[in-house]
This record gives sequence, structure tokens and C-alpha cells, in this order.
Amino acid sequence: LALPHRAVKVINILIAVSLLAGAAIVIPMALVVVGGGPVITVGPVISHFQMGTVNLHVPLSIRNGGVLDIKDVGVALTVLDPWGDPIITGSTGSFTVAAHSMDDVNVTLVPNLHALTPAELRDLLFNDHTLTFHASLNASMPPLTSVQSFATGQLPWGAPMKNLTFALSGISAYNSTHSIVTWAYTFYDNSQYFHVVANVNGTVLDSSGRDVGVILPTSVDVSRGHTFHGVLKAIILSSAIAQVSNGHLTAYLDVSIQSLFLVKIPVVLSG
Amino acid sequence: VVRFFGLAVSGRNIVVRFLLAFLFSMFAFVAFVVLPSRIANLASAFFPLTAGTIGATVASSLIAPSEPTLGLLIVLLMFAGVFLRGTNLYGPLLILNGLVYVVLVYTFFRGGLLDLSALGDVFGAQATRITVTADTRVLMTVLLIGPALTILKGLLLMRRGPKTDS
Repeated sequence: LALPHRAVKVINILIAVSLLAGAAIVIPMALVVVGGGPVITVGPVISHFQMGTVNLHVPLSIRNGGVLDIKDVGVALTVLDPWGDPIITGSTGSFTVAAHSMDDVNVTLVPNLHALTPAELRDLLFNDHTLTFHASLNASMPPLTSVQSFATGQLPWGAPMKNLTFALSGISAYNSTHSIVTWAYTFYDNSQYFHVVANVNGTVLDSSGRDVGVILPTSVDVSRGHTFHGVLKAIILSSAIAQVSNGHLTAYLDVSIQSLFLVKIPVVLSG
Repeated sequence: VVRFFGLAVSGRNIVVRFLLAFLFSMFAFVAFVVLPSRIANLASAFFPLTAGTIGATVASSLIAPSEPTLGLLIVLLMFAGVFLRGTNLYGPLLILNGLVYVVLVYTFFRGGLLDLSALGDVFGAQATRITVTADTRVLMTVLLIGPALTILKGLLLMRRGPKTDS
């Protein structure tokens, strides 16, 4: 009986030690949760347009109210266009959020607009869509646990140039061979993400593809959630003016938005 | 003094055992039945706003359907373990208790690879599917040491017999 008696005593001690060790591990981990976190706050997207490129920064604040460091923290985000191709990707890299502290990091998003065809670009410019995003967050409390979380959701995309419409407002003589034709145009910037700053110019072709005029350069600057009212002027061969009324003239507008990308927009001119 | 499953105990001792067993089983009831059933509300209270919704949903899915039943089993075994301490039944009860703890810990940590899924609000996009995968094998192993030792103790007590438990 001596061996089991001593063994039971040893096991009692080991059980006590294991309970203390369990509590020493579980209580700090529980305090990470009870301490109110980790809590992630996502700030508004900041866009930097420079030299024909754009960088989008998503500021994140990660608060660790617990008593353990959260290590190997990494955030990544991919946004897919309506056709399933990634148009925006970004990640933070790996960092540590110390106990009882708050870390501010930026997720730098890099748009890949070159993946879009001109037709897709026009579609995004004029139509509302739903974009899919994939976000991931990794963190660990080594060596006890590591966590990977993924979120897949839908983001609204509001058309930056919604309901673009033209209305003929006047025709006057420019010189003996050409006339100036003026259209009033309007659109609504329904984008949630950026305001439209664009330069517009282009050419006017008749139904047989002959170059019959030129669009005078003009600029557009409209804030998100506002309607833009502009005037488009074209110098057109007077001999082609008659085709305006029957809708046989098409203006190919070269719209450069934020110097980022150029969209060629065909507009049938009529009045 | 009466023989109580091979152990000589007084009537007063039985009353004290009953009260202690009741106290410990109430503690177990709160820890293993009440808290798990309230985990979603607790998570909502600790996490602010939208994070609370996600935290509560994830926390809810943390509790496997079998866990409340296992919790009740632990309450009963806790009562029986304290009440019958030192008797012929104490060894088997410890083994049973240890086994239930092992099953509970293993179930809670889903074998060390927690895979949780919830709907939440991310970037203002509602009903976003969120999946959380946590590797908790080390943590689970540490928490399984206690129940494993309890089973071992039960086996040794069965071999030794009643009345000599320290």
C-alpha cells in the first residue's frame, strides 16, 4: 500500500500544480477578452493621388486591453471587381500589439486598374455595383494559440458619373467652315470613395467614322454625393451640323480621372 | 458512526459532506452551465458596438451543443465526488470525473483546432461571413494534464482501497 499512498500524494501535488498552471494561462488570456479587446477600429479611407498613381490608406487602430502581447498581427484585404478579378490588394505586414496598448497601422491598398478592360471601366464609371472583399486578420499568443480569421463580404460601389446626360443647348457660327455646338451635361457623383476630378477632351466623328470636329477641353470637379452641371463645346464642320439633329454624330470623350486612368466615352450627340 | 461505502463516518460528517458537496456543485453549476449559456451576453457586454455583435456570435458558436450536458454531468460528479470522498466509490468517481473533463476540454477546443463561423458587420457591410480558425493544441494539452492526473489518481485509489486518501 505504501507505493500508491506516496504516488497519490505526488499526484495531488501535480494536480495542484497543473491547476495553477492552467489558471496562470487561462486567466491572462481571458483578461485579453475581458479587458475589452482586442478591438479593431477602422478609420476612413485616405486616398493619395500622385503622378498618375493612387495609394489608398485604411487607418486601423488595434487596442489590446489584455495582459498578454498579441504577436504576429497581420491584416490583408483584397477587393474584387464585379467580374471577379482583384482590383485592390493590400496588407500591413506583421507587427506586435503590446499588452495594455493601442497600435495605429495603415493598410496600404494598391489599386490594379490596369486589370480592367475599357468596357469594364466605363461600366464602373456609370453604374452602381456590388464589390466583393476578402479580409484576413492573423494574430498569435505564442506558444499557446494562434488565430486566423477571414471575412468575406460585399461593398457597395456607387457610380462616380451616374446618370450622365447631354442636352443640346445651342449652335452658332465659329467661322466660315465651322460651327460651335454646345451641350449642357450633368451627372451625379454617387461614389462612396472619391470625388471626380477629370479633364475632358475628344473628337467628333460622323456615322462613317470621318473626323468632323473636336471637343474643346474642359474640366470637371465634383464632390461625392453632388450633381455636376457642365457645358461641353465642340467645333464641328458646318457641313456636318445637319447630322446633329438625326443623331449621326458621336463624340468620343477622353476623360482622364485624377490622372489615374483614361476612359474613352462614346456619346451620341443629338438635339 | 456508520459504514458509508466502506468508510466509517459519523452522522455529522455526512451533513458536512452534503453541505460541502452542495457548495462545490453550485460553483461547478455556475462555471460549467450558467456561464457557457450566458457567454453571448457576456461577449456583447465586453465588446463595444459592432465588434460586440461579432464577438457574441463567435462566442456563441464556441459552445458546442453537447457542452451544457457535459456541464450538468460535471455538476453531478462534483457533488458525488465531494460527498463520497474517501469511500469505495471515490476512485471510480475520480476516473469518471477526469474522463468527463477530458471530453469537455477536447470538445470545447474542438480537438485543438477551433473553427468558428459567424455573420457580422465588417467595413459597414452587414451579414459578412466571418470564419475564425484558432490553433489551441498547446493550450488544450496544458488543460488536459489536470484531468489526466485525476484519472491516474482514481486508478491508484481503486488499487489502494478506501480510508487512506490524503
